[in-house]
Amino acid sequence: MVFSSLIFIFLFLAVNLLVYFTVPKKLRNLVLLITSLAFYGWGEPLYIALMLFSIGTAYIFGYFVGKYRETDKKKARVYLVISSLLNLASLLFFKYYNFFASNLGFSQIEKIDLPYWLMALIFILVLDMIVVASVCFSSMKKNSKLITSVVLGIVGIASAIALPMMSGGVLGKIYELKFTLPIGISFYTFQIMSYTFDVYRGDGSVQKRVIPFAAYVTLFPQLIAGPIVRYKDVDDQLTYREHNIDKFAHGVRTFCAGMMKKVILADGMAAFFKYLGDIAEFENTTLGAWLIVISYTFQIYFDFSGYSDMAIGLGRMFGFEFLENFNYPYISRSITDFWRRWHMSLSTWFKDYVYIPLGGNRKGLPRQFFNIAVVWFVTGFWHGASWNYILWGVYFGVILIVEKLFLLKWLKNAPKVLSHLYAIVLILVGWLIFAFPDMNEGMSVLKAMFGVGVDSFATSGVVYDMLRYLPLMLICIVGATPLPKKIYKSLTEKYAIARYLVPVGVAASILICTAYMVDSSFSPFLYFIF
Amino acid sequence: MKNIKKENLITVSVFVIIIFFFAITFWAQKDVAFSEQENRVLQTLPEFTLEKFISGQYSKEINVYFADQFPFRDSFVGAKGIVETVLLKRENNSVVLGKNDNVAVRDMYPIEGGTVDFYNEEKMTAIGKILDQFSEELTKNGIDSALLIPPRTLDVMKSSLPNLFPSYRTESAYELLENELGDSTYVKLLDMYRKMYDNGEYVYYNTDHHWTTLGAYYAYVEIMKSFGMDYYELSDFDIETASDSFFGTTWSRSGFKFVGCDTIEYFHLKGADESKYTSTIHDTTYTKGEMKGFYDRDYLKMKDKYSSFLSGSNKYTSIIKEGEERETLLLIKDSFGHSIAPFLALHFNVEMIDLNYNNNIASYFKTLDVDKVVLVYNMENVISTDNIGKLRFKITTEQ
Repeated sequence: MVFSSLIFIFLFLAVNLLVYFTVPKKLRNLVLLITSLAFYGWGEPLYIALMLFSIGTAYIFGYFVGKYRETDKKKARVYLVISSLLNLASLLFFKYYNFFASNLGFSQIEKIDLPYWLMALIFILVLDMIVVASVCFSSMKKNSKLITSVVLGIVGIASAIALPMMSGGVLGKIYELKFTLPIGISFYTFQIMSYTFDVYRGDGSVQKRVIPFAAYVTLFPQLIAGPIVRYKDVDDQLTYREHNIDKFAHGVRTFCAGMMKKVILADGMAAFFKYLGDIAEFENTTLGAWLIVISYTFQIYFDFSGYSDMAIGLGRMFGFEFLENFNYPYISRSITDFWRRWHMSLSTWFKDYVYIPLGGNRKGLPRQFFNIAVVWFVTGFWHGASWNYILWGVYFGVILIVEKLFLLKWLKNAPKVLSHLYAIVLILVGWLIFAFPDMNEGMSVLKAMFGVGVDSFATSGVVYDMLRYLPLMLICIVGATPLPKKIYKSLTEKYAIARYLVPVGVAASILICTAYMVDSSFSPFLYFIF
Repeated sequence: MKNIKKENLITVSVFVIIIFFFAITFWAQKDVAFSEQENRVLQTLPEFTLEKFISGQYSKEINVYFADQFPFRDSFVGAKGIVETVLLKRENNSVVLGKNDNVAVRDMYPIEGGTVDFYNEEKMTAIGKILDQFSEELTKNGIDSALLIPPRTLDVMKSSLPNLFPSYRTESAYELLENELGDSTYVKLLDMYRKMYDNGEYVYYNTDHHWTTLGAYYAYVEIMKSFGMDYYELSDFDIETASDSFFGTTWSRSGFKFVGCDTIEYFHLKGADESKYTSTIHDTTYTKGEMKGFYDRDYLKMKDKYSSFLSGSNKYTSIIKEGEERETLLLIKDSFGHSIAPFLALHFNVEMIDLNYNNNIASYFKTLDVDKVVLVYNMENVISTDNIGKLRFKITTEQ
């Protein structure tokens, strides 16, 4: 289910709000857990088992990490590693299996559909986990417990990898698998891992009650597209959080703003981007190529930040305070600056759980560069199982190293215009790499931007469509700066009438977005052809 | 409740009221099974089965159900049209809003992996060649023919389109096609209709993608001219306004609810008795089978009023005139043919076949004694289908 759908707003959210605020306070986490699981399993009910597996492992191992962290650091670390590996295993399998299979040359033998053995796989994994759990709670000697857990952990990972190979009945034949990626797996896997890490480091306390913990993992607002909420940031809120009208209203405003960003701006730009890419096959122009990159730049920002806003807004309605995920990334004056403003919860995650454990900047410059390289390679790969995402990560890694070496100092003293221009051009090129999994396609757009291989600079068709989208692009430009928020703040602080216009704006934005959602399903069957 | 800000209370109330209003209305109202606006069956409450749920099919159907049955659906569609207009997009759902509320579909076709308002160049050339050969084959067999590719509304209303609109794509498509045609029996129409449109003649509907009866009349004149035959003058007809509230397909799709409706006219030849003409619909599930004259007035009560011309699209329809030996004209057509057939039927027995529903066109030359052939196939269908390829055959009259 996505937020910008009728069924989410007018069924799921309505029922959820009704039940959540009518049950006694102590049942609220349970309500959130159940509704979140329903939200998650909506399109792919079977994957609920996978989710329960992830929750179970993290819960149990987290418990032991917490238990031993003071007394036996080594043992705590082993549990931490097993837990992380198990969680990463499902991420690696579901998101990257086909990528590895095809790049290792195993694939292209046959494509198959596979619900049945997938169920078997999940079954084995769940079983494995239960055995692990029972071993952990048994009265076995500590050492043998540890060994058994490690063995079972390996069994779990091995079964995840081995099953697809055997599924065709022919041993050693590897298939390219056809399945949908469990929604949000990249996000919630990271979120779960942050729990075990935080417990290990003592940044968060062990959550012994399973419902608040499961609710934290599945929490539907940030389940599918973030922000990635670190455990330590919501630890207290899981057990106690305040609900009041002001907070709820704040949530409503944030949600509506996010929805408008997504439905009006991002989806509008998405349509433009799609069309431009398609028409370029017939009229390849320099102007068109620039518009391709520009429209994508707007699309991805408003899509992602709109979604984050909706998540943060929904969180507020249910009493949670999540950290902001975007801070006007396109007004950056360097790439270092950009990555402090773009998808902040992800950068923070990588900083906290990868960069700093690797030694961060404390082990000398060469080591720091190595660490940056690792982080950015992984960041790129996290975004998708395709080479262009890796290139995209490496691209930013290199720029960040160069900026650290000398460029950042120059940029600080450079005229504002120049540093803004520098940043935005590099960001645009970054999105160009990001937008095209087929890198030849990306390359030809890049060439066209600089007049290589184009038919002409522009055709009147391209200009016509540019003018059609010009007003929307201007709104996007203004919307990507802090200006609208500033105006909103000063107006609502100064004038009572402006404050009372806010509910009107809220109503308008819900109705307008509803109109777009209704219309998107509006597909007149035109008896054109016959 | 300590000093809650009043505006926040209003915000929350507004939010909650809107959500619950539509949520409750949605479940309280009755499902609609069919949308006249969109001319399609709507999703009704899907049946729950465990199998469907596990496969995710159930959630898909529920999603569609929600959108299809949403309260005030048509008003929301209209509201979106207004917002798009306010954003100065000039188009909504691929319908262009031109000057003076003129609208036309800017069709997008799936070509080469994309969806574009373009055409496949090789295909246009190939179609030109096929038409040329078809024309030659007919002439060789002593059959007079006229091949018409009526333009789309968008092509005709060039002068009303927004500035810089890429009408050159239309012109180059026709050019590619016509370059191959040599001295065949192809009849050019684009410039003629553009000129008439610019002179304010009502040759194409505004809210629908078809030509009007007047537009069809002019095409009829061109056909008769190319046959070297006499035709009826415009003044020979009594013009009946069959409907003055025709909202066509373009209108439905556009969401531009402020655009006014069209008029449907029937041209009756003065002094002719239309009841002498019988239209027989063969080989379809359509139950009417046979009707007197050319019009099925039941359709005038529905939204799909253009289908009143010869009962809409059918595989094969014969129009004969009682008690008169006349030449047989094979009309190979899409829906543009429906409004031209009544004119042709004044001179010929018309055997009307739909190019989409028929695969073996050659067989009609065996079973019928064809004297003349007219092709009426809209540019829209030329670009988006491969049906013209069905005209590649040799004529044999052996049974």
